[in-house]
Amino acid sequence: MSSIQSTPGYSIIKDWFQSLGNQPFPFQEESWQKFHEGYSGLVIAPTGFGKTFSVFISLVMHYLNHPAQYGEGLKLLWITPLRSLAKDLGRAMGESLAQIGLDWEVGVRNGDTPVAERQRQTRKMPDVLIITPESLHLLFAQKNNSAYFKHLKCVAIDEWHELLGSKRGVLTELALSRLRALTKELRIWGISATIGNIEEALDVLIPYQDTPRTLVRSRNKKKTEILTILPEEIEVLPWAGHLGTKMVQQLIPIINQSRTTLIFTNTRGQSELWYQVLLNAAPDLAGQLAIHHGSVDAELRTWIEEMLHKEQLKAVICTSSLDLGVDFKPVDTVIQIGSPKGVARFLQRAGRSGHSPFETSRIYFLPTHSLELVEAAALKEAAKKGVIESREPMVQTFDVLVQYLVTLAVGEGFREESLFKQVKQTYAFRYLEPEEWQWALRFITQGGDVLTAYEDFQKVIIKEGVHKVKSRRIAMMHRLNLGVIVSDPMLKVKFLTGGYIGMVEEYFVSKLNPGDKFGLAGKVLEFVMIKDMTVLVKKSNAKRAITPSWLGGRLPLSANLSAFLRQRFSEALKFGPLAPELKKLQPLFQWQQQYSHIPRADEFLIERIETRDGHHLFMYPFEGRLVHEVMSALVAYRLSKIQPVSFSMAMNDYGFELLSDQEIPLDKINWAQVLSADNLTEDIARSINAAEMAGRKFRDIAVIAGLVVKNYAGKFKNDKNLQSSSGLIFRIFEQYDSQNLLMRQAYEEVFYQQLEEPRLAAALQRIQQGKIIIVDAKAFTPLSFPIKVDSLRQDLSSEELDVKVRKMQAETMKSNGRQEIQKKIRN
Amino acid sequence: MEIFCNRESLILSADRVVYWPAKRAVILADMHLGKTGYFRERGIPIPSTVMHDDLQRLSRVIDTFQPEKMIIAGDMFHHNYNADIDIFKYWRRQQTHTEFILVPGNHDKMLPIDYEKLDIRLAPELFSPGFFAIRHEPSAQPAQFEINGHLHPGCVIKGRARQALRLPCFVVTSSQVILPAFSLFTGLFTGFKTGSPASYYAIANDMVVKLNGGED
Repeated sequence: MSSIQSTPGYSIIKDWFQSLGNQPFPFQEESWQKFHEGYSGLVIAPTGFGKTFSVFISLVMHYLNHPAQYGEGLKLLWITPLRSLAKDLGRAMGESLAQIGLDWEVGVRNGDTPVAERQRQTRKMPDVLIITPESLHLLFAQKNNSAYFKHLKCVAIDEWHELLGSKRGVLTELALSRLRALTKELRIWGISATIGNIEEALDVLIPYQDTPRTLVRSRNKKKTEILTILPEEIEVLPWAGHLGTKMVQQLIPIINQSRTTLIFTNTRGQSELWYQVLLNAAPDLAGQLAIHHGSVDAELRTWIEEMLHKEQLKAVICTSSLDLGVDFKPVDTVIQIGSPKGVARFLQRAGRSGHSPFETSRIYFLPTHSLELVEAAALKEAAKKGVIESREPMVQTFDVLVQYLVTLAVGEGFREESLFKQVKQTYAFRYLEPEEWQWALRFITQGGDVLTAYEDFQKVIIKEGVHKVKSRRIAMMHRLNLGVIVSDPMLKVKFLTGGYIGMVEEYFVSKLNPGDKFGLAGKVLEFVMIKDMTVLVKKSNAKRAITPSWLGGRLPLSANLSAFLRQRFSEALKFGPLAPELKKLQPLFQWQQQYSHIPRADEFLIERIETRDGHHLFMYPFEGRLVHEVMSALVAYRLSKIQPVSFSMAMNDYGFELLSDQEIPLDKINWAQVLSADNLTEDIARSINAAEMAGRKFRDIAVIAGLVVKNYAGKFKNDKNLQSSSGLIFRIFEQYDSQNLLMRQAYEEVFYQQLEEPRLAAALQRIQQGKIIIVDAKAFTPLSFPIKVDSLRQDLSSEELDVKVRKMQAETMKSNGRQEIQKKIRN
Repeated sequence: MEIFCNRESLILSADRVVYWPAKRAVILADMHLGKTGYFRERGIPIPSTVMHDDLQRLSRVIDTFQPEKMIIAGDMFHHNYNADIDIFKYWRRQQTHTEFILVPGNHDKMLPIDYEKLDIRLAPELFSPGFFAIRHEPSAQPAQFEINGHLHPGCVIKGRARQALRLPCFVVTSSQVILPAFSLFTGLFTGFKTGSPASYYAIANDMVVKLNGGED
């Protein structure tokens, strides 16, 4: 194949680049060449280096070189996970096309697209369509939709790393398998940030034997500067959530010296809290400070984003809501409050500042308790070494498969033999067995195995070999409920006088009484009542408010980061040059070493502490709270087999606590057995309530598979009699249809994703190979203290907690002063 | 389990009904007959087995208490007529010695179901055959001791390590008994607040257990 540089398309593009005073990056040229040669592929480059133009221009160039191969309508389909990205991207593409001299139309299609616009598109498809995976599947649910894709030449998948590892990724895989079957010589090009498993990411995106594919990597490295904000004083007995707001004074000069600052918090609750704290500390920021998270009204969010572009805001406090999306030019500083719990997320957030090529991204890390300083040191090290988390692709997600089958049946209908081949080509379903496929078909045509004899179940019918949905009502309900993002029910929050503020979870509102104050979108509001699924509130002048604790806000520590964390700990008392964070923590480390022990990388520390509350065992695997949740239950179960004893448990990202009213005979315990990886699955199943956890996983599965209906069409409002909970259906299936593959999926999701069984097994093996150190500590230690405080949190108000913690700190200081400690090392 | 409401005896059964010895009546609520078929018609696969099991349990209740009357405190049928209701019709024909009285909820009244054909007598919305009055939705200020349905009451029993058990229950106040939903294909409502202090009787497998701690 010829060199792209000798083609007329290339010279047109080159001229265009020159007219803008730009030079293409080598990786862009490489992707153009590979596209030209007929390859599909995956482009990996840091943000700001023109990833978009690698793929987009490839297609434009191909058109310029081979106009005869193109027909009317859709040429390029651009799949993006984010709605907010679409508009600006479309504008940028449109401008480029105009400058190059093509009169192509660029369309955007997602949940925000007005109906009229959508109808216009389906009458005449634009040349380029920017779409979300969900909207693409909705197109598949239309009559005669295959005609739209007749002249499609390329599908681009933007931010593939964001989709990979989620059910939206599976939706994308299925969509690609269909598009490939509809169009000849379709090129598939993904665009991704760096992740740990980039080869696998390519395998998932393009698993097709007959499609030549390639990886195109940018050699440009993004420079990132990581600065830790060190507290002036270190608390030897740390606790989460306390230190941060004390350090607000150190934030203000950083904000003042920057053009625009993005301040990332991990939860929506935290962002509300910091908004108040910052405004109290620097009242002159009023009007220049905004708050942006998933529960803030969409219009307000858009407005904030515009203000960011125009440099009208000094700082915006946000959550993952601003992790992705269009770059804001004025942003030159990012602050991360509290541990981001993963290297990839941290670097992605850093990249929101100084995003143009060769500029340095600058991120400040503000710890919310002193131990997070170790995390800061670990993050720096991991970032330096370029160790980034993987995104594990999801496989065998029957809920998504069932939804997809019904989607196709609502659209043009499908023939099962050919579709089976198509679906089985995807990475997600490459191990799909014919029996499982048949089950899925029975599920949508007969309702599964228990329902074979019913005539009233007519979801999908088979007519002349074609699976189709006939009922208009079922079709409508399916379209309304299509998608795989399931969130807890949210309620609108409005002023009594009108005026929309945002959304809160129903769960939070259910605990409010009239007169209670809560914070949302940076306002303090007084709860009045709920009416018509809307929370009515008044403005409040109260200074303090509870902040909604949105569920799912807590991120577990990634496996990568935890390995670095263990290493940093083992270096804590090393002589010689130390990271500034570790130097600052010396008093804490010395305390830990003196009254207990600092575990080296190959050591597993167990602390036994006795207090008035009872007998505590603290263990520190440093594997993140999710793994600790299971491990604590597992250890408790195995200990209770040696001697009947019951425990209550608490955990954080570093370790867990088992508390009992009986003494635990440590000498009788064979730790190698208690911490063994043998019989893991069986013992886990006995130690946790797997059925209950599976039931929770089933919530999403039931909605995705269409068993629980969330949205009702106006016309079929009466269908609200269909209201049922996934829990109810879970129980019914458990009793009457336990072989149902959706049930099996729920359990598998529990074991592999929630419990991270493989990670737990690896952790246990690591512990087995190292030394087990048992220490009789006389009082709480720097490591155990935050776990203890966390366990009190759910029962106490924040003021009560504050008082209680002070008291515990004083007591601990006192009892540690007088005793010798005993350390035992076991192999 | 026997309880007394102002000295009137009432037996709480783990089969999700109460027996009123003075009137030889079994009282239950929220059967939601036909709900399984309703879901199936709309593409959600729920087998009728669920309803069969409900009816089997009701047969057992009749065998145990040999009641003269079966009083249903509303929401007997879920929606319109469907094939599942034929199953009920067949079952009903075998219960020759029991009278069925339906105290309609606002819902039942609007359904185009021929109650006469099913041998069901329709009572007024507030049905008062004696000491107890039966009404679907609990009155705000009952003039007489009421037995109600509608709420599908449930309670949460918290265990170790953030595990919790949700069980259907009877709620008894000084003027009301709120029945658990009879059908197994119903949800539980655990967030309700009664106006006055209440006792909670949870159904754990085949036992009725009084919960300690009064409120919630």
